[in-house]
Amino acid sequence: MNLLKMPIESRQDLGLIRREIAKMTKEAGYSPLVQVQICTAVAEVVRNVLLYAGKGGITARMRRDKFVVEVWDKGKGIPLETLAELENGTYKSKTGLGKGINGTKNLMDRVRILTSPSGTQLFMEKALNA
Amino acid sequence: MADNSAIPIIKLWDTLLVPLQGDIGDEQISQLRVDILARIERDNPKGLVIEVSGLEFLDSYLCGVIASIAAAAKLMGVRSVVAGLSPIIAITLETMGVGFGEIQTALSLEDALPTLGITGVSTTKNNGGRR
Repeated sequence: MNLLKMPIESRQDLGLIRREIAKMTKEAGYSPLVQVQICTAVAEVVRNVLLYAGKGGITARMRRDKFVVEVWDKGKGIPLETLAELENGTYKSKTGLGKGINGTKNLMDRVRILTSPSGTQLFMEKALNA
Repeated sequence: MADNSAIPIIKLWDTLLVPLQGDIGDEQISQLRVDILARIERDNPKGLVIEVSGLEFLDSYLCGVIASIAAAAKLMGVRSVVAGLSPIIAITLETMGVGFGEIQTALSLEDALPTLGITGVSTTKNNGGRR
């Protein structure tokens, strides 16, 4: 599959998306470790959509030598203070989920978050031969 | 592939053994928490081993649920050990800075059981170790 495009609406979607990402990264030639790292990173951000925004969507594809993922939601956005803490890795949520987002940054080569009161977009990528 | 079937809980002498395999869904792990605590009440075990060598995937949420199962078991007087984390999952969790908190971990099931007081007795067959 060249392009994954799916809604994020339920916890069942999380499992479906994770399995599709696993298939795509394997076909693209990522090592078993990196396959698991990308799947875990995707699972963390998809779960955040379900927890904080309720619904959203994901696209994922190989673009040249990079696996590129975009996740979006129509939630209320991330407060600026939280965003700054996410940027410098000091965010600690009461539920412990901040570790998930901080962890995602460690698993991927690049993570970029665009947020506004009408929604959030998160882009992340992992090079094939890093 | 994940499904909604119940995860087995095996009674092994005074220990409950829970093998987690493949791709565990959120609903399965939530149900497992309820099932394990009910079995602890029913069987009165001394220990709980959560064996994860067959897991394909473990994120911070599943880690959190496993940690909360162990914490609840501890409140009921039962020690827990997480055994058999694969190298790939261990590296991934370490990279993320996620762990199991204070839960004891073991390299394998064989290493986990003695920590809960179960020890094996080796027997030597008189055939050079081959069947």
